Amino acid sequence: MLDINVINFIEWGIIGYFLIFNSVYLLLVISALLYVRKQLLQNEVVKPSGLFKSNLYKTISILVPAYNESSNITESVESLLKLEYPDHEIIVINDGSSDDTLEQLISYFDLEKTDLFYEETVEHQTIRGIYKTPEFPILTVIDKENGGKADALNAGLNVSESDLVCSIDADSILEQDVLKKLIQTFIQHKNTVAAGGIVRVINGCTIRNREIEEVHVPDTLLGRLQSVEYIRAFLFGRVGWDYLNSLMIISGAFGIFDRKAVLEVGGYLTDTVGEDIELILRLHRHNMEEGHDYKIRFLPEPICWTEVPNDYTSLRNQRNRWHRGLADSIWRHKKMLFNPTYGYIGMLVIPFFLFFELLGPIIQIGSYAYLLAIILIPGLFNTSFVLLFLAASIIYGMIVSLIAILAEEIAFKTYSSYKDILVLTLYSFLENLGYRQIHAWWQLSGLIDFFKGKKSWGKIVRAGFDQEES
Amino acid sequence: MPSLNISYTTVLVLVGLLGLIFLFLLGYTLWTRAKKRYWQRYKQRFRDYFLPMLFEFVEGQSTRSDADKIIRKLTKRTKDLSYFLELLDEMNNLLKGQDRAKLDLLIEQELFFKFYREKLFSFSKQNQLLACVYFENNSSITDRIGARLISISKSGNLKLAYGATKALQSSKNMTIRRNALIRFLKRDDISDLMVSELLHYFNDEDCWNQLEISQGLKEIFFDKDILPAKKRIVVLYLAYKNHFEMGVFLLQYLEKLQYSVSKAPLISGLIEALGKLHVKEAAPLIREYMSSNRDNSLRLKCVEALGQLGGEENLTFLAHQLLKSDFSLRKKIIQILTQNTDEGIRLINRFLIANRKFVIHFKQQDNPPDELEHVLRNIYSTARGIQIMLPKNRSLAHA
Amino acid sequence: MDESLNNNSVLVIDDDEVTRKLIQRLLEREFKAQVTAFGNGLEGLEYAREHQPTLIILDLMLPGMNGFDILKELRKDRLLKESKVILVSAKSRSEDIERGFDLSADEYVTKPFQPKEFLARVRKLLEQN
Repeated sequence: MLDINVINFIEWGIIGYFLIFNSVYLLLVISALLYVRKQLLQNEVVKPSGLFKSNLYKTISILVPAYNESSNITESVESLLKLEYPDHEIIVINDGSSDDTLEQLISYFDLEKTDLFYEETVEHQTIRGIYKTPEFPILTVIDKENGGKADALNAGLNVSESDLVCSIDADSILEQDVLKKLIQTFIQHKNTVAAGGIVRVINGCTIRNREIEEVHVPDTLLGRLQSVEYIRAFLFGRVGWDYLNSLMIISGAFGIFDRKAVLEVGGYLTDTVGEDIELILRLHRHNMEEGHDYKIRFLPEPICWTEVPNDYTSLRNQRNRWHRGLADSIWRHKKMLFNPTYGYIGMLVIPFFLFFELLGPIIQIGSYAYLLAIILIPGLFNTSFVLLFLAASIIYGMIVSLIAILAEEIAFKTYSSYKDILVLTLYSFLENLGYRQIHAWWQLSGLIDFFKGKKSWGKIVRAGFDQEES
Repeated sequence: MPSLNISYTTVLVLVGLLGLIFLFLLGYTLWTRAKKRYWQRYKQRFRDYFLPMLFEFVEGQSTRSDADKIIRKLTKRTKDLSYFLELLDEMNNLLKGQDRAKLDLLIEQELFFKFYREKLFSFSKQNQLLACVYFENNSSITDRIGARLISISKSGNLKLAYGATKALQSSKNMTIRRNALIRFLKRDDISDLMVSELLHYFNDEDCWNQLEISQGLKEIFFDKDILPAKKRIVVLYLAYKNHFEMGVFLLQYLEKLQYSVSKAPLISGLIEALGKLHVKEAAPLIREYMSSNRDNSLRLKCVEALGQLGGEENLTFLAHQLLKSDFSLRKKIIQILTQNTDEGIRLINRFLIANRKFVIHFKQQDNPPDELEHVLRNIYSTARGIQIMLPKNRSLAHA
Repeated sequence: MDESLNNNSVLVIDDDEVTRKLIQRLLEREFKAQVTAFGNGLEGLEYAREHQPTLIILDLMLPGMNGFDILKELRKDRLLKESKVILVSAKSRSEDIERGFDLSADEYVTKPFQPKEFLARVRKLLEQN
């Protein structure tokens, strides 16, 4: 028989974990809501107008890495050409696609092969050719050997000559005035080095000519569950972190960076699956070590719409990859953990992400296993624990999800109809009854894959950023 | 673990709470959406009613009494006022010249004025901000409002201070405008983009001529409390607006500056401006900065400025710098030379011929010294740059 | 009173309500023209193909389809060869204006504008016929 103290310890530990995890999210959502309301109301003041009548604004390059995107690449570029901004350019990087992505672009836009004189400030795979067209002088297409998303972005960083670079996925859709809104952050906060924006789920929306006409929830179970998740974790969660001035994740699907600041830290890392998180951590780390005054922000308003995976396997793989990315990024920057040099980020944010997001799945899966054990093993059953576990993990989780939906409705009213909100509310219950558990399992296997894989590419890890310290 | 009773109660309380939030969410959504729909319909009716009236107003004689007549049709509801101002703002953006000026009669109506004056004097920051946005478009700022805006512009809250400073730029009094601008520039939490935006508002060409504006901005350069990086934006703005009369002054100013890391942005801004304003006399000083300084971003501005000033001496100087410079500078120099008519092409030809000899000589050596390896790489890179950037219709004798 | 647009149809495509209504009003009053207005590029294009308006006032930044693309489509249509097109846009960079004329727009008006000036340009364009 196990010692009663040990059992007590385990049970309180499990409940404590869920309590803290959900409470942090509750706090994030509530503070985010208050903050967003204030921001949206005050935006009028920093709306640029005179700025664009002089040439003293910041120029923007949109970097679009494309790997086997032939089905929608031309449409996507065309919609980017329509963005409202006085001086932006679009750099599409064909990352050695095996389909006809490049040929599609060449024939559709009448591209001609040309040459650009640029410096390889950050390394990447060989560029096979650069294409431009006199009809759209702001469009550049780079054709390079396959090297992954980060590698493609690095090529874009080299070729771009703009002040800011905006990295987006080829299949996402940006709202037309997104750049004008993005620039507001740079007006508002001096020394902004990076900013992320809302990424929303496009599945289910009515689209005409690559513009969103009506916003609806997706039709599928997985799509709907992800909609709730995007609102709770990726929208209000991140705004909340931003409010605490400690944003750690900017989605790879949509982020804007000061080009020089990114080059200063060496561009994207090509040998990690979490290049987006890793870059933000590196920016934090570098700028804090140098004692720079810098800002990394999350904007509640500019919106990027993205297709989320609808089938089980792709979703599982995506989450597995995200978790490996998180693990790898934290591992590379473990020096920042509990290190007061890195302020909030080192003392609060990384520890939270390490113990609750990264290692959380272990505790979650562990606690379900424990629950199963005490149900199956006679004499161990403890109704009190089961009830409290239910309360702290599932019911509390539902409350947080529901409040996030409420916050979305109060702050944005994005969804077109009442019915959508009703569906979201119902799915916010379902999110906590099944989805989160499966999700934890995907994350756990991601974590295991990370530990398994780390040995094999351990050498490359050290050849990366860590070299700079020695 | 606590007793069963407590656990049951906890679960029940949480489930109850969940239910309450659920009901509240549904109720809130229904209610606010219905309300929103109502106001949307109302707003459309409102616009359909007032828009033709506004068109008529602009087309007609537009007297004060016409304006009063329209205003009398408005109720004093906040919604009405904001819808009306929104309409005015849209028309403001669409029309220009005299037609636009007629709208001021409406914007400056007592009704709005009073409404926003109250907001300006309230304690709520939100209200103060709204009022600042309104007064941005209102040129009849009274003394009392002006005084209030000035005190808000000193606020510790950056957004408020920014809003108030912007509003003060619609004052008809040059001293008030300038002082507000200078006060704001002294802050250390402002972004460069804010400065450019404010300068646009400061530079009201309807009110003052170029000379008055540049005289107004001159004071900024002598203020020790304003960071050099902010002065730089002012310099660039003057250049962008073609204030040629400031050329000599800016050159004298640059001559007096001692290089330091903190002043580097200002110096590079001055050099950029002198190039754009075509101050030929600045060339020797710029060349000196180019030769003596190691700060690449500063040197890049030197290259650009010398390219803009042009002339045989400057271009020859640039051609000589080709191999001594880093990539970004080299690229700029090649760009300037390849696009700078015959003189540039002649210099490029000379460069290619001279270096071809060097390369051949280098290759004949059995054991070339390592430090030359670097020079050779630079030559190759430069030659490639020239090949890429040379306009297609140009050909080189020895390419 | 200029009669050249009398009983002729004009199509206005602009997503900004105030611009649309102002232009519609100006043309109706000045030329007694039949004005149809759309806020969406695609709908406007469909209408143009069906009704072949004499004059088309086109905004550049539009939802649905942008002004340049609409202009290209219009010029492809044989029936619309005779229609005059005026581009109205807040884009005042010379590249945009040049591009508009390259795509054979007949006139380019930048926002903000003065109604009198706008009408004068329309009149001049119609007198060329």
